Amino acid sequence: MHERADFLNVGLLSVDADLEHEFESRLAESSTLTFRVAYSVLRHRQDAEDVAQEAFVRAHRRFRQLRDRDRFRAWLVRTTWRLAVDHIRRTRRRAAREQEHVTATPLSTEATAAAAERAAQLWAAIDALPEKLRMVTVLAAMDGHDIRQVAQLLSLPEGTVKSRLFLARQHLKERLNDR
Amino acid sequence: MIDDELRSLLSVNPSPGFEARIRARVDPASPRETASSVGAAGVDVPPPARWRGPVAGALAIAATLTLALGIGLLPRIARRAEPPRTVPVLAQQRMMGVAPLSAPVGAHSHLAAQSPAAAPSPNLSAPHLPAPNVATHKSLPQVQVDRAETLTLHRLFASPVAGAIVDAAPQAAGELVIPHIAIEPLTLDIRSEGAFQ
Repeated sequence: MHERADFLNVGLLSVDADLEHEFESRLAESSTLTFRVAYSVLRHRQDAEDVAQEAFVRAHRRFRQLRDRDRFRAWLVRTTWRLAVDHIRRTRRRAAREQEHVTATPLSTEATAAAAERAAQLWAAIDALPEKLRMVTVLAAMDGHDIRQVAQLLSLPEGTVKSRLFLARQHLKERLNDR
Repeated sequence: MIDDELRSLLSVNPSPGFEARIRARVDPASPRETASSVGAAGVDVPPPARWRGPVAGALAIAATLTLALGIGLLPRIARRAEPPRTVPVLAQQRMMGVAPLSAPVGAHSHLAAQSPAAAPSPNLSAPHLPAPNVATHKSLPQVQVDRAETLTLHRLFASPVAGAIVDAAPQAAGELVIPHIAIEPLTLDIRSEGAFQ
């Protein structure tokens, strides 16, 4: 009886060890992506790290169902995005943070000041996009993702991703040329 | 151009020790959820409540109510399941005093007596007979009257005869209905049997 229990325990521990090992590899390959997704929404390092951590904690709880690499990354990206958006809605400190960030940026040279202004304009243009277009745009500009990878991450057809990217670029050009 | 700018804006990296902090937050001993708690589209779905007390209570109450209702309805269902008894009514016509009907006759009727032996005295002209006892008749069993007899009774009742119908039933649409044939013999003119035939 004890032998049987020991056998079961060893088996369960082995399964858990395998899961932990797999989770470790997923964490290593997806942590930066997750952080960047959160950062693209929050524009704040510390908040982005907090949200990304929360996404990984949730992913760990559900890891038995998310062992497949593609499924794990897609789930993680969507969950991180949602958590980041919720974070913004909940705290509503974004405007104050951006203001703080702008004033804290050292304006040592004219070039740096111009770059900061351009970045602020670009972020404002991205923020003005509808969420569907924004998500596709940000993911396409991240980690060298191509159309197929973005489609996989968002569980969308590649044609949909292409058309959304096209629309998003049009919106961005119009908005940035207006200024 | 825009893509490049955006790419450089998004080329941010987490601070050192980011993964270590995630590992610290992830407790390997924490229970993992089952497949049912993970949405198919990867949307965060809350796990199902583990305590199912309210559901079990509601089911128990529903089962009890259903059982009580079933027990309450059982006699009625059993009564309805009984085949209708066809009782010869015309055999007792001498015991009945009838009057012109105010409503069409019908198929269901109450009989004052089920058999000639139990029937009241055929002395229809006796002036001392008690007044009709409606309550008594309402408790009598309902019987099915044969259709041929019903038609005959209809002809009989439609003729100008003396008597009183006790507690005439309401008319059913398009139906030949004899209201309660439990007719108390009242003070009647002596009639020949021929008047009933």
